[in-house]
Amino acid sequence: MKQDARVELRNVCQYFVTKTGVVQALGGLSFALEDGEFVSLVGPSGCGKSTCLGLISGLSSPTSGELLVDHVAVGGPNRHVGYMLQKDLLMPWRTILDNVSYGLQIRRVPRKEATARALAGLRRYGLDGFAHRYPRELSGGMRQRAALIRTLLLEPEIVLLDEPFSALDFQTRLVIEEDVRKILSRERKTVLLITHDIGEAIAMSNRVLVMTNRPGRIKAEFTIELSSGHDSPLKARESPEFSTYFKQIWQELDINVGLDSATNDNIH
Amino acid sequence: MLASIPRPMTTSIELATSDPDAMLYEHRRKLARETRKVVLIQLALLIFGIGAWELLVRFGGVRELLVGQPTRVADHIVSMWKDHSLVRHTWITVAETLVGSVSGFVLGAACGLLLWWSKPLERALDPVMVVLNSLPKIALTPIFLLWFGVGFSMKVALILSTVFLITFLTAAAALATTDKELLQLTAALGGTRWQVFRNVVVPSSLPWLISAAKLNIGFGLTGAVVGEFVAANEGIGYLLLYGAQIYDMSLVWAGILILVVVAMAMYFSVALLERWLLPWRES
Repeated sequence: MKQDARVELRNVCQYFVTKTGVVQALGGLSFALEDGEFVSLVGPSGCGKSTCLGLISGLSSPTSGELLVDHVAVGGPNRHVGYMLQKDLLMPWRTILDNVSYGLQIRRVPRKEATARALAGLRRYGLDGFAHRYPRELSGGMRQRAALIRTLLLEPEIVLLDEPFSALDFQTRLVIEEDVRKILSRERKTVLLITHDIGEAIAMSNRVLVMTNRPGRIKAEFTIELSSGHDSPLKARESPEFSTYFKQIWQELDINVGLDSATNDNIH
Repeated sequence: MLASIPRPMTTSIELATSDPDAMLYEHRRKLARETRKVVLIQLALLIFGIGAWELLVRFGGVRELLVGQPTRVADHIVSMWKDHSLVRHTWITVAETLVGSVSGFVLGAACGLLLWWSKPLERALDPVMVVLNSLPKIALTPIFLLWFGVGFSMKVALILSTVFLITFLTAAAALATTDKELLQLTAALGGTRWQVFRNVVVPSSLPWLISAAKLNIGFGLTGAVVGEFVAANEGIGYLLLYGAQIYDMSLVWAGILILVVVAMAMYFSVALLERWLLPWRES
C-alpha cells in the first residue's frame, strides 16, 4: 500500500452486460493518486476512462480488484470526492445560484447557509453578477465555471474531471483550463483529469497516464517536468519540453491515422 | 464572370441619425406601426366576413334557417344575458369542465409520475397504455350514463376519464426524457430517491404536463358538450342541441361563440400558469 495515496486502484477489472453480450471495460487497471497531485488519464475513446471515474466516485463497483479512497474500499458515493463532466449538468429550471447550491441542498445544508455559501462561491470566482440568471442566459465557459463552483462548494479533497472542457471552443477552453488549474492547485486538491486531448493533459498535469484500448489498463506513465512549472497551462504549452512529451505520448497512443479506419473511428 | 456579380450598394443605406437612442426609438416606432397594420387587417377581415354573411342572408337569398344570421346571434346573446340564462348555461359547462379537468389532471399527473418508482410496473402497464391511447374516450359515455345517471357527475366522469388518460400517458412519456446524467449527478452527491424525484424528475416533467394541460382544455370542453348532448337540460351543449332541434341556427352559433370565448379564457389561464411555473423557459 502506498503511504500517501489518496486514491488507489489495484488490478481493477470491470465487465458490462449489454444487449449483445458481456463487454470487458477494464482489464486489470492499477494506479495511484498521491495527495495534491494533478494526474491526467489519456487513451483512445471507449477504453474505459469514464468507467474508471464512475468507480472512483462510487456510482458503480468493480467486478474484481481493489479500489481504495483514503485507504478505505469504496462502497458508494463519498463526500470527499467531487466530479465534473463534459456536460455542465446545470438544471435549466434553476437559477445559477440555485444550481450552484444544489449539492449543498442535497446534503441537507440549511437553505440560508447553502445560499450564503453559494453566493460567496459565485463572488469568489467572478460569477456573482449572474446569480439570478438561468443557465441558458450564460455562455458555455461561464456555465462550466458554475459547474466547477457547484463541485468545489462541497469541499471535496479529490476532484474527478471527465473531459470538462471538450465542449468549449478553443479560446474559451484555454482560459477555463487556466482558471481551473489555478483554482485547484491553490486549494491543494488531488485531481484526476480524463481527456483525449494530449496537449491539455501535458499542460495541466504532474503526471500523464496512457491507457490501452478496451479492456483498459495503464500502458505508459509520464512524469511531466516543464521548465515553466505547472501553474499556468498556457505557459506550459510554450515550454520547450512540451512537444517532446506530446510526441512520446502520441506514439504510445498508437494512433494509426488513415491506415486502419476501424481504429480511426475510435479516436475523436 | 466576375464583372457580372452585382456590387454591394454601400451608399444606398443612410441612417438618419447615429444616435443609438434615436435609432432604437425609430426602430420601435416602425414595429408599432406594423403591429397597428396587422390589427387593422384582422379587424377588416372580421368585419368583411360578418358583413358578407349578414348581407347574403338579407339580400342574397341565403336562407337564415340553414346558416343563421349575425344580428340574430347578437340578439340571442343579449336576451340570454338579460334573462340570466347566458350565465347559467355557461356556468354549468364551465363547472363540469373545471371539476373534471382539474381532478383528472392532478390524478393523471400523480399516477403517471408514480410509475418512476417502479420499472416493472411501468413495463407491465405499457400494453394497457397503448390500448387506452388509441381508444376514443367518448365511446365510454354509455357506461358513465349507466353508472352516474344524467346529471352533473356523469359529465364530470366523462371529462375526468379523458383528461386523466391523456395526462397519465404524457407523464409516463415525460419520465423517459429525464436526463440520465442529472439523475447520476444527484446520486453521486448522495441524494436519496425522493430527492432525485423531487429535484430532477418532477421539474423536468413539468413542461410536458403543462402541454398536456393545454391539450386538455379542448378535450375537457368536448367531454362536457358531448355529455350534455346525451342528457341535459342546461349547459352550452344543451343550448346547441336545443337550437338545432328548433331550427334556430343563430342560437347554435351563439352557443358556439360562447364556447370559443370560454376555451380562450381557459387557454390564457393555463398560459399564465405556465409563465408562473416555468419562468426559465424562453417564451
